Parts: sequence; C-alpha cells; structure tokens
Amino acid sequence: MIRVNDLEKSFGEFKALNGLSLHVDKGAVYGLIGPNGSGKTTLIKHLTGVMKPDKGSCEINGMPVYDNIDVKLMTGYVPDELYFFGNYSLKAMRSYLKALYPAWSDERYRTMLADFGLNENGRISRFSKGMQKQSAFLLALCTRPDVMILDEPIDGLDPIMRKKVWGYLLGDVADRQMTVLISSHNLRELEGICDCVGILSQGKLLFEGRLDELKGKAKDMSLEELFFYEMGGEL
Amino acid sequence: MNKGKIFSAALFRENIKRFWSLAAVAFFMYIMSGPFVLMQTVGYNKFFAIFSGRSYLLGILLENHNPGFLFMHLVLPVVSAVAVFSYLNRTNSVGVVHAMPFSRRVLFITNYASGLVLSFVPFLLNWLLCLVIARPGVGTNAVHMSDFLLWLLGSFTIITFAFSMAVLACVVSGNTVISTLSGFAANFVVVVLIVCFCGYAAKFLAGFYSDIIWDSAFYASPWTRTIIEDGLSVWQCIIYLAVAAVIAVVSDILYHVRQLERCGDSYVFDWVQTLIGFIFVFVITSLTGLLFFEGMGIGGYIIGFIIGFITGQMVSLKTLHIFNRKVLRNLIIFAVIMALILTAFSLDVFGFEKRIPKADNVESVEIETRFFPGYYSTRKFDDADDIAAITALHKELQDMAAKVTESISDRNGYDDDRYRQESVTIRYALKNGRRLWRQYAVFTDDLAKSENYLKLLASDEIINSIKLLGELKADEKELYVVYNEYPVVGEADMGVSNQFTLDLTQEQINELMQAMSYDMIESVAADPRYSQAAVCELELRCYFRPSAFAAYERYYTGASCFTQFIDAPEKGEGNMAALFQLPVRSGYSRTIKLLNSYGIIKY
Repeated sequence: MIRVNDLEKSFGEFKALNGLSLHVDKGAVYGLIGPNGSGKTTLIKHLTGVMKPDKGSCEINGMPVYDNIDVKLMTGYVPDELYFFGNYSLKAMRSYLKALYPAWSDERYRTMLADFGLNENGRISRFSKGMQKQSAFLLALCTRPDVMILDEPIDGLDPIMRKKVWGYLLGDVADRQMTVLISSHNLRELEGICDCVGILSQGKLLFEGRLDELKGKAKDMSLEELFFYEMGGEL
Repeated sequence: MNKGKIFSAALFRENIKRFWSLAAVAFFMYIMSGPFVLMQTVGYNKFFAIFSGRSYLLGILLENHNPGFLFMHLVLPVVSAVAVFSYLNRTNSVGVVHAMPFSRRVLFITNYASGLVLSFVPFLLNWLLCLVIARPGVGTNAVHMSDFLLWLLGSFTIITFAFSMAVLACVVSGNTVISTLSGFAANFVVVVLIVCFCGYAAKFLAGFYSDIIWDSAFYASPWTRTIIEDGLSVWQCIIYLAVAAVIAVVSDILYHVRQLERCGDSYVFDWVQTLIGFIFVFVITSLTGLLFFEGMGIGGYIIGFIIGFITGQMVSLKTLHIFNRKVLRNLIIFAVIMALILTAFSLDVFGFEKRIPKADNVESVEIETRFFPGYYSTRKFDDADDIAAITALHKELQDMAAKVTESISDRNGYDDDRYRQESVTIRYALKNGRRLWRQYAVFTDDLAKSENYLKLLASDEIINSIKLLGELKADEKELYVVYNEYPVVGEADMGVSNQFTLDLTQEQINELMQAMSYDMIESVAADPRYSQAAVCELELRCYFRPSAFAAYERYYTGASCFTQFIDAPEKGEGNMAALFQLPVRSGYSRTIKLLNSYGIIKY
C-alpha cells in the first residue's frame, strides 16, 4: 500500500509538488498521468527514496520511504532513464542483486531470461534500448517486490514484449497482491491494465479514482478523453 | 531490522569488482617506481645496478620522496574517490543507486571504505615487495623493520588524507570533471590560501617572519609536508588521520543533506559555489597584486579581482552567462571582503608591527644574524640585561627596516656598498608560553652602529661561544690550511679540495687556538661587519671516540665557526672527527704572529 500525504517539493523557485496526496491500495495497479512538468517523476523519486520531502510524507506499507532500507527491499523500480553498472552483464547484475535482495528468485530469473531471449553473458550497455528495458524489468521482478514503481516503462518495447511484461506484472499482482504504480504518457496502454488512475497537474492531483467508476461517471469517455477533459484541453 | 546497518558487504565487493583495474594500473606504476628499481641494486642485473646504491634508493622510499610513489599517493586516492562516487553525477545513476536497499549512511561508508581499499592496497603490495627485497635488519643492512613500519603508516596517512579530501570534493560537486579537479585542488587549497596570506603579511607588515608560515602552509596536508620534510612521525600521522576522519564525518553529513536532483551542477550546495567563487577571487587577486602586477599598486589587485571573479563564477556556475542579480550580489560582497583584507594588512589593524614584548615578559630570545660569529649564526640569550638590549634593539630594527623600505626608490644600484643589507631574526620565548617571531632586513651599516647590537656582541653568550675554541679537548688534533693568501706553505691558488696538513705539535695547535679565540673576542666588537679580509683559512680537526660525542655536540651549535662532524675510521673503529673552519682575519694579531713564527704564512 502506498500513501502520500500533503507532499511538497521545491527546486529553487519552482514548486514541483504542491500539497500532493495520493493513496494506492495493496494489490492495485495505479496509473499516474499528467502533462510534462506536472511532478510525476518527482513523486516517483520520493516513492523510491531518492528525494527527501520538503513537507508531507510518503509511506509504503505504513513505513516512511526516505532512507529506509526495509522499504527499499520491498520496492522494485524501473526508471525512465535506465542505469546499469558499466561493463556488467545480466549474470553479474543477478549476482549483485541476489546478494542485496533476500527475496530474489533464481527460478523467475531463468524463466524470464528464456522467455525474453536475452544473453545473460552479454554486456547490458551493448544491448538495444528495448533489450535494456527488458533487462530492467527482469531484474526488478526477480527481486519479488511488494510494490513496483514504473516510470514510462514500455518505451522502446515492441507489442509482443509489452504483452509479456504486462503478463508478468499482472501475474504478480494476482499471485502476490503486488502493488503497482505506473507513470506513463501512453494512456491507451494504461487503460487496459490499471484499476485506478490519478491525474497530476502542477504538483497537485486533479483527479483520482477507480477506472470502472470513472468510466461510469464520465459516460464511457476513454482515459485519453478524460485526461484532455481534466486538463481543459479540447477533444 | 536494517535500521542500524552502516555497511554493505555486497556493495563493497561490487565496488572492488568494478574498479579493480584502477588499483591494478596503480600497482604497476608503484612497482616500476620502487621494487623494480630496488631489485636492480641487489645484483640481479649488473647493467641496471649502476643506477644507484640500494641504501640511497631505500632512503628515498622510506622518506616517501620517491617521485613515483609520491605521485601515486595523490593521484590514486583522487581517482578512486571520483570512481566510487561517480554515480552521484548523473540523474539515472543517482536515482537507481539510491533506490537500491541502502541508506545514505550505508552508501557513504561502504563507498568510502571500498575507495580507500582501492587506494591503499596497491601500495601495500609494493611495500611487501620492498620488504622482501630489502630484508631490513639482515646482515649489515642499516634499514630496520621500524623504518618500514613508519613508511607504511606514513603512506597510509597520506593516502587516507588525500582520499578524504577528494571524497569531500566529490560530495559537494555534481559532475565528474569538477569532482576530479576539486579532488586534486582540495589537497592544496589550504596551502595556497596560507601562502597568499603570507604574501600579504610579508608585503605589508614590517617584521613579518615568513619562514615559519611557509612551513606551516605545507603542513596543511601530509602530502605537501612530505615534500619539504623526510617522512612523517607517528604523532604527525595520528594527527593527520584524525583530521582525515573529521573530513570524512563532514562529508558524510553533507552527503545526507545533498540534494540529489542537483547532480550535473558544478557544485550542489549554494554555499560551496560562493566559497569556490571567493577562493578564485582571493587567490587570483593575491597573485596579480602581489606578484605579476606588483608595480601597478592597487591596479594590480583590481585586475586580479576582475579576472578572478569572472573565472570563479564561470567555473562554479558552469556557464558563461554569469551576469545576473545573484552574481552582482556576490561581486559586491567579494569586493567588500577583499577591500577589508587589503585595508587590514596595509593599516596593520591588528597592531602586528607595534607588538614588542616588555623585557620582563620574556623568558629567552634567539637572535639570528650573519654577523654573529659562527656558521650557525643563531644565539640564545636569557640574561635580563641582554634581553633588555634586544627589546631596545627591536625598536631600532623597526626604524632601520623602514629606512630600507623608504630608500628603495632612491637607489642607484644594488652593488653600492651603502645598500648592503642584513637579515636579523628575533625569536622571543615569552614567559606566558607564547612565542613571538620577527624578521627585519636592515642596512649593514645601521646595524653595525647600533649600541644595543654591539652590547650583544660583547655579551657572555657570544664571548663564551668563542672561548669554546680555546677549550677544545680531543684525543688528537690536526690543523690544515684550506686557503692561504700569503703562502709560505702550499700554493697560492689552492682550492678547498687541496687541503694542506701542517706539521705542528698538539701544544702548538692548542696555543694557536687559544690565540685565535682571544683575537676573535677582540675583533667581534671592533669589526662587526667583518670588513677585514681573511689572510688565510684553517681547518682544525679534533678526533675523538664516539663516547665523547655528547660533549662535542655543544660545539655544533655553540662554536664560533662552521662545524661539521665526519667519521674517522682511520683513527680507530667508530672514531669521529669534529671539523672547525677558521678564517684568520687581518686583525687577528696574536694568531698571525704565531702563524708567521711557525712558517705557515708570511704576512
């Protein structure tokens, strides 16, 4: 479960998050959408423990996130801008992450490696962008996190691979009640997998709700249409 | 359950695995500079054996004066620090690494430890190799295991200190280039700042004794200290390691408050940007004003300020576009601070020049001037009358020094005898335990006319030091002529290397030394400028057994002439000789009379 209360963060004069509150239930798949500069990535960096809030709080499973190793152990993260240690292969990363995460699953690693068709001995830095993204998903899912945070996760993935990735994610949601927060601009993609959505603008949540309720209230508007509507744009 | 965790073995292993190549390259740099060269001196290779003696090579290694080792002691820690903390400089790496299950403390401590290991292990391995090759304590080898252990501790200290400074630079900076440059600069910045202050004091404050400040500037880091001194003592190592630990703690605190989103900036703290900007201003203003454009007066400082300000702002802000309100604010603040510094020095607002201790408050005084008889021209005075004369002389020296400053523009040439200068250094030990050191450049003529100065020349301290010459006890004495202006014995043009032994009895030598000490006592006050030419120069050699060395040590600093100790195995195993070089001046009537009678000179 993710709970964000009255979160504020400024960068100099610019207020990136302005009293943001958000709630994601355990086992839910939450879609975070918003225009560029709305604060999505800033929020994610608070949820992954990278940034310290100026004000307010971020909690995962009832524990504050910042500088909390226990929370980080139960959190998986696939960032927008990927990063792997230079010269490292998937095998080397597996060895490293296995030592860090007690819940690491070798069985899941072997299954996903075969399914994605990746070479575990090849340097990740020499993989294509899509293969690097697959590697990031593979490594994050093998840590068996309780909460998965994804920032623009499907950029660079082909449709077949997207289907596989969503399959693994939703499988964990169904099997282990994993909580997922996805930030994406691909609204059609989110519409197919999210239970809840939150629309972020200027550091505040404009709208939050379950997708099925939303569709009932919004008279079958698509997520994309709802987004435009909330942002005051024209369809 | 992980709350108290401060170290991650997994991250430590990973850092070593990722950056081992740095240590490997360093290992080979060390091995080529030390063990490889050392091996050539133990007879494995006759060709390379001509390079140098083993004891010499070992000596410079143990004192950390080997250029290769000294270079690596600085470069490797800085490069290691930049490598292990490089993830702080990019948005993707900073996000991913801090999202991993580490607290900031775990990250800092583990990275610090792994970087230090990478920095130290290459040296440690080479130290072991040198130990095996040199085999301290074996046979006639003069090197002991304790020397090797001190070398190990000294090197660990230098590496740890340089590494800690580089880590601090990495934590406050936001990109790899600036981290690297700052990592190196951090090891020298205090040295440079002290040197600049020393420059201002030397220029504006009469009597400022810069030597001690120069030394203390180099003491700011064990690396720079090693350049001017032979190795580090255990206590010095402990102090430097304690300072390195404090720097590490400060870095840890800064790491905790570091705003990760500012990665990519030159410096991630606003106060560091301001500080770096000011350091540029201060150093460049000082260099131009005191050195490059000294003749331009205040104009030199203004030029330096402008250059330093623009450069500093461009570097700290990492942009060419520096003209905004914040920079204008810095410009005003920096200009005010520099004006205050210059005013404080030029007006001597702290009363530095006026500080002359009262004679009652002085425990003892050392005066150093070339005019005192003896090569080591420092004499210590603790008699109340002498101290009173010195404090009175101190006031006179201030006036004499002012005369030197005023006369600079009047001089026609430096070779004019009227402008011959003498440096006089006064070192007070005050009764309250403090010290006060001053140094003045004065005209020789002025000093020679000072009654207080002449009073010191006639003091017991000076007279007794001269008398030592007539009281020398030795198993055997020999007398040589090293220079003879009016020859009877030897050649007129013989040099110092062609010494000529005199065939004199021990009684004749003693008689000659007695006469010479009387002559010196008479002439020291009569001719304080040593204007009398040397008729000849003698060298007295006193042979003695090692057990008598302690008794001879007082001559080393106390004697009224140049003194040197040498081994003299030809007089028996372990025997030594004390050498006294004695110029015979034209006013030494008793000495010249005896030399004439012995047929040594004809004058």
